[in-house]
Amino acid sequence: MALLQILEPGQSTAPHQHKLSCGIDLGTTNSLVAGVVSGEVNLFTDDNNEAMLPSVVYCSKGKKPIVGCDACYYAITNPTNTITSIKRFMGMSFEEVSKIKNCPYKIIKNGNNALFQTDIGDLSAVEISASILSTLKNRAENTLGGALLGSVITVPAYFNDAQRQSTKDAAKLAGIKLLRLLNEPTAAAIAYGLDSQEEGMHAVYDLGGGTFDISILNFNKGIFQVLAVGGNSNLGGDDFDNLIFDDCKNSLNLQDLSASDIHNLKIFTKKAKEELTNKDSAEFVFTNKNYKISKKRFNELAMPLVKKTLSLVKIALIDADVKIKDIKDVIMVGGSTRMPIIKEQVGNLFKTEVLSSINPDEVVAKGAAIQANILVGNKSRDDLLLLDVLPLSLGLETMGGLVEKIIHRNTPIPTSRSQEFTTFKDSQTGMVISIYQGERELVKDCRALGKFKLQGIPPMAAGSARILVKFQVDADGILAVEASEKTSAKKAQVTIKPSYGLSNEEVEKMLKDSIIFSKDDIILRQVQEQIIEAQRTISAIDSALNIDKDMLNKEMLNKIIAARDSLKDSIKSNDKDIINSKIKELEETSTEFIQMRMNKSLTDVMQGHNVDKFNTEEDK
Amino acid sequence: MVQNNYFQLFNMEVKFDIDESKLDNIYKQQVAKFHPDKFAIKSSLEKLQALQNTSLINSAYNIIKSPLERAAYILQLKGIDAFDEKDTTMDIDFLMQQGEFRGQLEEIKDGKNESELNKFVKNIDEKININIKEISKLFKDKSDLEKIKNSVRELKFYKQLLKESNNLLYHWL
Repeated sequence: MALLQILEPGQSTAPHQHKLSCGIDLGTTNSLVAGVVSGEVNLFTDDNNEAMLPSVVYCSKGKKPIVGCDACYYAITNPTNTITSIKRFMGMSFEEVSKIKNCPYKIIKNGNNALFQTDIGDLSAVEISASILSTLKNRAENTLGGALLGSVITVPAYFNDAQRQSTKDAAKLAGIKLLRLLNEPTAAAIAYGLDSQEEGMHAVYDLGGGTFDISILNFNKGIFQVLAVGGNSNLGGDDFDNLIFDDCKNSLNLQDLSASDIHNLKIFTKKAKEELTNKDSAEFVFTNKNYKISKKRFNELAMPLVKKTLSLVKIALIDADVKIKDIKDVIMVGGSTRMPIIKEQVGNLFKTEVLSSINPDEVVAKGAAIQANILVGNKSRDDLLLLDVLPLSLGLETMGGLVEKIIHRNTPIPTSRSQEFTTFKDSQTGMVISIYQGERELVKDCRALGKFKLQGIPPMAAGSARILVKFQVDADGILAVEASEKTSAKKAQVTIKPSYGLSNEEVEKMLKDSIIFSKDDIILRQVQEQIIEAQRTISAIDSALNIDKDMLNKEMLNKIIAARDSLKDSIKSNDKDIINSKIKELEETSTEFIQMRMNKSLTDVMQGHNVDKFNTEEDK
Repeated sequence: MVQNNYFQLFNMEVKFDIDESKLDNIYKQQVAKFHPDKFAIKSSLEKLQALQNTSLINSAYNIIKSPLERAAYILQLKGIDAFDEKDTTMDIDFLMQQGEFRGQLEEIKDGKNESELNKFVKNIDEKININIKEISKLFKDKSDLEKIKNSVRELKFYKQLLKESNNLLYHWL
């Protein structure tokens, strides 16, 4: 079993052994996986030497899903069971999915979520994406000849919280130890940045199959600082195909197309678009009728979409507080940037060099691989740090359906913000906080991330409870909410329940009941992961004790050591729940110690001042 | 006695006029030490610590980098809340002028005129620059804190106006 080969750093018999990792570009149309091997970035290929894995999943009865080229064939013969462009469905509610045009699948409602009705069973977008991820992971492990210590998966910079969380869930389901969700444009910049060592301001224009992203970033002394991102997570090559699709439908007067007609026509229109890259016109025959489109006509149709992307570029420049003339170069990413009209219009706007020397289909996976290699701790000459931003503002619903922004878009992440709430009725024990993501002022124009229910507030007079809610955004751009009641007399644990996406329990259940992954693998994997986490926690505590034991009084020290030893013993149980509870115990016992050490490390920075006395944003 | 504050995190004095490149450099050094990416294969305990440290550094950086936030923060350290919602006193001429600007912005919005918007934004940008210079002078002259507060509040109005102007680009998408 490959999983048993995972070794912790330091445990390895060969301490300087290269740690295995990979970077995955989970694309709308195609997905790729790459890794750093002997200092070189390589794309990993399949048995036919193909690097690109079409993001197509065929679900046939009684079998495991078929992913990639082999599935493409079924897209024609069995379109309802062959899911393409699944990335477009990630993080979408049922309501949103039901608005998608030309959708050949049977979608059913499951709570707020949408499920695809296939011959394998009802599958969520997370599970379908997981089957693609799993294929890529296996490819990487077979190529590298061992289990991966971790992987980086790329997402469009403009992906919202729900889309990011879904991608993370898919990774978990596929058994991938996720090191980081990396924004695609940033990944591309890494791939270019390391090649040219160009310092200065860069723009990355990324038009993929289903998403558009613009990033403005600054590269200086080994640090990539993203200044602003913008985009549209539902604008991409598919929309350009649709222009031809609709034009063809109108001019050939096509009506009542079947699911397989729609699929066939989609293939034709996509091919026509690609032909227009090098030719002045393209044509095809569909249901015995001839359709022809000139490049000029296509450009006319495409112009409004192109202009839309350019407006988003302008907004990102404003957010970054950067002038067009300050941009040294524009990196082109995504297959859709092959369209001549895109290159031409982007070049016109920036009046600077448009870089497309690295294959736009491969550049993202390569950048992700470089980052994964750094994160697992392989020393490389190009050690770099990425500083990212929150792509979309986070806000709370206030009176009258308005959104009050709590964390603004393009704020450097990780970041946190605390806000105080109070009760408005006597003896009120619960309240609901509705969270939205987006830039508009009205609730109805933003994306609902869901409601957080606060329960267990101690009964008090109206207005006297002080509930401190902390919004924490991590380095992956994902939000977590914590709440605590501040009136010291009645310390209460306020619990929070998110209502969107999948809950932890649902993901756990999905793992247990998985129809597409083997149960034994999953159980073994979970135990292994828990053991690794236990070992990491023990070694973190040991090294902390080594340095700062003197901070503790005897009682505290003994408690921590006892909790550590009991965690050590629990590893032998091979029971993930027991190990997990012992990890939690050790963490809780050490909280105060960790806090003391954290203060000390920041204090070193602040030349002898204590973090507790800090005037933080919350005190405003 | 020195107070504990965000400025110290970047080895800076509590002063409105700052050396931005120094801030950026020290910020990058600090964040490089604490960023969660440096703990990608460490225990979740260490990851959580890294997350909290970096969040703090980022919050501090945001406040010190922005002239508006920085000015308000210095006032806060001196016990003055520049954004007190109960305090609504503003110079009447200033409010009249803001009213005019809002009228102009409404017209631009209705006319969907991007070049007019650009002109408008440029004008507001200039006002903001003048305002920041004034705040800097007031701090340097150790002026009356209430006076500085008024100037900071005016800057907040301009910033809000600028934000709404730039947001028009979103509405027009």
